[in-house]
Amino acid sequence: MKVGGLVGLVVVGAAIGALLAGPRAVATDDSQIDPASSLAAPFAEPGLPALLGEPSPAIALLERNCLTCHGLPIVAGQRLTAAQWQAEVKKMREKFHAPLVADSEDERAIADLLARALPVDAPAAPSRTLSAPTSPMPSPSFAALTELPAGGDPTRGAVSYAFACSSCHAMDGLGGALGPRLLLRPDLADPQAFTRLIAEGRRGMPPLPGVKPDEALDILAHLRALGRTPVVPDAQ
Amino acid sequence: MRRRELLRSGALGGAALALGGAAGWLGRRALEAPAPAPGLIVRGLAPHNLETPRGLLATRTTPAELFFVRTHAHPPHLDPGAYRLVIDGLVDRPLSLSLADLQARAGSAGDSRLAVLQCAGNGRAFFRPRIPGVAWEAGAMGQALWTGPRLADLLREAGVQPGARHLQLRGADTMALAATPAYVRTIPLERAQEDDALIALEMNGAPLPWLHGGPARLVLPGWTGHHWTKWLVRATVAAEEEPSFYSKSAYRMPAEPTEPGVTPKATVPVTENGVKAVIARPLAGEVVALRGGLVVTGVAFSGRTTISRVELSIDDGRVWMDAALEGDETPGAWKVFRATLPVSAAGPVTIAARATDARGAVQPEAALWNPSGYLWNAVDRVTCEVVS
Repeated sequence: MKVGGLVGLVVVGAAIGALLAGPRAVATDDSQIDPASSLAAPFAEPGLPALLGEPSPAIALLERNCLTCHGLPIVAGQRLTAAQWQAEVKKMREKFHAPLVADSEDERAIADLLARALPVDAPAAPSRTLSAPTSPMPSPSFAALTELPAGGDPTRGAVSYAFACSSCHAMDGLGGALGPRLLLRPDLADPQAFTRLIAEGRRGMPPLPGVKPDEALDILAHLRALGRTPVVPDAQ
Repeated sequence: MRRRELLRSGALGGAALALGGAAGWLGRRALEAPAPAPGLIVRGLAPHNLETPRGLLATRTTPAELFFVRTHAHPPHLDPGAYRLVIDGLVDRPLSLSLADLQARAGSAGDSRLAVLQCAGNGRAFFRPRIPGVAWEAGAMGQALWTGPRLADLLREAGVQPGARHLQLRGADTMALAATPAYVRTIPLERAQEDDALIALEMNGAPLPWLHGGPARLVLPGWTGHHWTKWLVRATVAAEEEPSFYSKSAYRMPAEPTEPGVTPKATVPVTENGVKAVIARPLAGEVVALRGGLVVTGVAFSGRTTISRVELSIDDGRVWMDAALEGDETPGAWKVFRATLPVSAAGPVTIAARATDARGAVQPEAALWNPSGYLWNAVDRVTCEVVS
């Protein structure tokens, strides 16, 4: 793995805010990450293949099993031994319930990939900075995540959601074993981008060509309406 | 051009610090390129883990937009109108408090507290052998003025029952996967009942920003960041510690000094920040012009006490020189240190900094090794390049 690969890696895409249309920010060495793009960039991480080699089944496994919960930078910033990477993958399965099967081929493939790409003696990742966010930090407003989108019907959307989404994301939209929580996610901020996400899929989520754009808007309306009710965590 | 940049990066102080820091933290390369605006170092995105560049640390308070961000899970968007903090469990009168309720309880007492917030893992990247986890260097820490009601007053209002020993804290943030355990923190009830524990609604005089836990977070001066629960929505008084991974396995240190590779026999929770001085400027590799000597700035703090001394050395610890200290005598707050060291020759200079606190604890030469890389506080060392 060359330093040039590391430089190219730069992982901007994963961000809390997702889905604003526009060019993806791909920072290069000592360049800055513009919050307008990084906080709102699509979830895809364009530097991923550059870091880890050509697209491969192992990278797909990493995306599906690891990057659903956290972006690539937290991984790419570390330099560990093969044994440490194995222990990390195991810890993510045991403690954080990453959807991996114990001691499976998949688990080994991910650990091998990381040990190869990010060995303990590799040069440090170049420092990347995020332009100072203004205060309050940029984020879609509560209203933008809960107001009904034009043309979307939450009642129809509840039915479509049950068929198309609930098996992974749970009926209440709070996330299941396979898909993350959806309520109040920044992905709900932009109807166009939301519709595209459903059509194209992302990471472990397959494209859903059967869900037409108007139906996607209904689903968005349903999810935004659900987000209005605050969820107070249970006492332990 | 080169000369002018040098002068600018040397002209420190006040507002110029940010600009100087921007030119400086990239070291020499910055001199040949336009200086970028100051920004946070990306350690993680989705969720965000952002580090303050160390060159920007030496101020009484860290601006919210430059303050480090540590996030376990996806930050929740809370509707301020619908927000409630629930206080329940072993209490006589469970409370459900709106933001207005909390503001009303903060008002008369005027509870504002200057305090350092430091991630337990700050400095993890410096441990050898290397340790898995967010690769924080020096800047997973900051100081702010936090304002809000005292937790002790809210607990008194709720009426804590006999047998209660812990307070279990829940934020509204949620993990991406439902199967991943939610982040919960338990603190000893007696710590929660001390006067310095606040429910912060403001940071540096402005509403608490979203990524810093707005609308409300816990402030626990002197204790590490993982106690300072963000987006706080529930505080449950209980007899027992909450039994999750985060209490029983993570955020713990060996009870006795341990060698790398050896599993500790017994562990204790990470609680108080250790005594620590961090050099802000010069930066590693920074080209520095002498201004009557070598100007060094930084910050120092120690758990729930104050700093009594910061010493600097430029000869690998043979001679230590006192730095001037500025700041409040508030336990849990940092002081800014400043010194002009007797350097007259061009060439590389390695500066070492060590702090001593009011209890007499001295920053150690080596940080206590531990398997998760918590509480790095070894003597800070920075090598810069002096030009005459």
